[in-house]
Amino acid sequence: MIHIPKKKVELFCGTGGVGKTTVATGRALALALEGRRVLLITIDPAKRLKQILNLPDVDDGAVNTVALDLFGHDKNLSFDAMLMSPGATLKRIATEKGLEAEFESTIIKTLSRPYGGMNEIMSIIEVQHQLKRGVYDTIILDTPPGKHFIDFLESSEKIKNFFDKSFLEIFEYLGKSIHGEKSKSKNIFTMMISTGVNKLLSYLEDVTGAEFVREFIDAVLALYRSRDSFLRALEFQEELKSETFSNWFLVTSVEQQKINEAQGLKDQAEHFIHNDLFLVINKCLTPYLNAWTPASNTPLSKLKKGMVTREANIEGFASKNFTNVLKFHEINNPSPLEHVKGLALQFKA
Amino acid sequence: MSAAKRLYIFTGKGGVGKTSLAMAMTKHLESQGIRALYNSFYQDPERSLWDKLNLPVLDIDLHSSAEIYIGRKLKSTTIASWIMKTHFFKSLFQMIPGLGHMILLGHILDELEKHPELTVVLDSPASGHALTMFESASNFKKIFRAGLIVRDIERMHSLLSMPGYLKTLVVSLPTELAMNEASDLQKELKSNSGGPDFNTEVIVNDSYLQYLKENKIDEKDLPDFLKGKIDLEKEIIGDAKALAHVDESEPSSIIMKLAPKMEAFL
Repeated sequence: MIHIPKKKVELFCGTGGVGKTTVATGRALALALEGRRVLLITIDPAKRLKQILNLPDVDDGAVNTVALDLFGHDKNLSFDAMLMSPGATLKRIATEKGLEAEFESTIIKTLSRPYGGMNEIMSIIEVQHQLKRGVYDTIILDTPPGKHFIDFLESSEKIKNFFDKSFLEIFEYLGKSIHGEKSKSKNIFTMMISTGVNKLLSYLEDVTGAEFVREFIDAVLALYRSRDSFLRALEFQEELKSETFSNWFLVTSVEQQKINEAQGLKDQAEHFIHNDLFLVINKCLTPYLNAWTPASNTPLSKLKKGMVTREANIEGFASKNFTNVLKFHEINNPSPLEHVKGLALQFKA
Repeated sequence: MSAAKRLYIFTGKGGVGKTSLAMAMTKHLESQGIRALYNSFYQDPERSLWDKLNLPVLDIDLHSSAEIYIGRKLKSTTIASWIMKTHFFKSLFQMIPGLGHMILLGHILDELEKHPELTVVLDSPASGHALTMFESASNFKKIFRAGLIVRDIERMHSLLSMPGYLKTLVVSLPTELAMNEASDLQKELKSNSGGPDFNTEVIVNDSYLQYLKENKIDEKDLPDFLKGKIDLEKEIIGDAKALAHVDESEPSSIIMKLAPKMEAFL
């Protein structure tokens, strides 16, 4: 039997379409049934969690409390669930910093839409915020599918680059105020850089239009003023690497033939992931297939053989490459709530 | 056979078989004497599979595509490579992910204009990403307003809107969640006001219902767990066209078996 230790943060990642959100919700239910205080955050812009838990269809990043009678359990037990809204997180930062007016920029608004470029960075900031509130024993993160998940992990690296010192060249040149005062007079060195920047901006204006360059610089300046919120996200990245802090779940499914992609994700995330990594093979049909004996040499026996071979291949690959493999069997019921219930039971086992 | 379009975009959520179907489409077009190229659209290239299939590909990556594009627009490759190296541009590129996609799409459309006999099959990333790409053109118009990029977006829209030019195939699996997501994506693409008509069609991949039909298996002979699957499929597939589950485990064999079936989706 595989023991899953209790941690502050649990990350569910996978290739998309494998039932990642449903599995993460099953885990939230299992932990909540043990009396742990759980927050489930989904970063996946797909609306699956909304569909599963019947949450209101608004993009406000609010925390919803889900009483467990929804799953036929004690109504006095519950877990919290939130759908990541980059816009809502950004708004909180703006309010904290008194930068509401500056954040009213078309560019920042576009970027902080669910498919915009700031989704991952905002998610990390939100998780940190929720951790700091100290009201949860475990925060379960349903991360974006596939490559996006790597973006998520590397987003704090992006932040660092974004606020890279050399970026300040632009503001120096433009004489924009960064720390509340105008930048000091330029020495020859910064003058030289500035000339380059000037040229760059004029080329950029050809490509994007002058208006955009101005707005973009204002947007970046607003972000720069709240940079400490962003830079704190770097600490989270370090914490994630610690075995006492996090559990990793890599979810794949029999249907999807995507197990080598799971391996790819593991390799790409290697310097984050530690020993507490669990491979979840979802939607296994083995128990059903074992109980089925079609007459030999019929189209049915061929069908069965194909399905058995597929599962055997996946299991062979899994046990060769992963230490902790959790095999969850398919839940034969159309209701997503029944799936969550069934998965929670399999987590318990 | 029906006339091939100039551009096929395969999209849908992850793990539904987009890549296999996009490759199958490319092989099918090729077998019909059409010059077709597969493009993995910035996803990890699966070169060994390409080799095995002897797949004709348009192999351009995001960074070099952007450099070539900017070089063309500014009429200087030196300036383009210098711009791409600056921190400012790197940040811009990172902050606005759709920008890269749009540039890549612009690059592909350039190729199509240069070679009138060519058809490109685009293997677009999972739904989230696909939306980024489709949304990005309209977003950029909103945020850029002027400059070369906006003129290019307008050119791209009018190209994509030409009758017989584009077909978007939303790939799905015969499960309730997958079908819901496919129809959401289709709706979003249709409601993309001001953008081109994406001419979408849903393909239901890996259908056991279709498999039973093709292999003349009577539903009554199935065990309960498969009957449940079949009943669900009947309920959710609706009018969409389905591709039967393929009894192979080797990706290249699956693709070659799927190729002739792509005729139905031209």
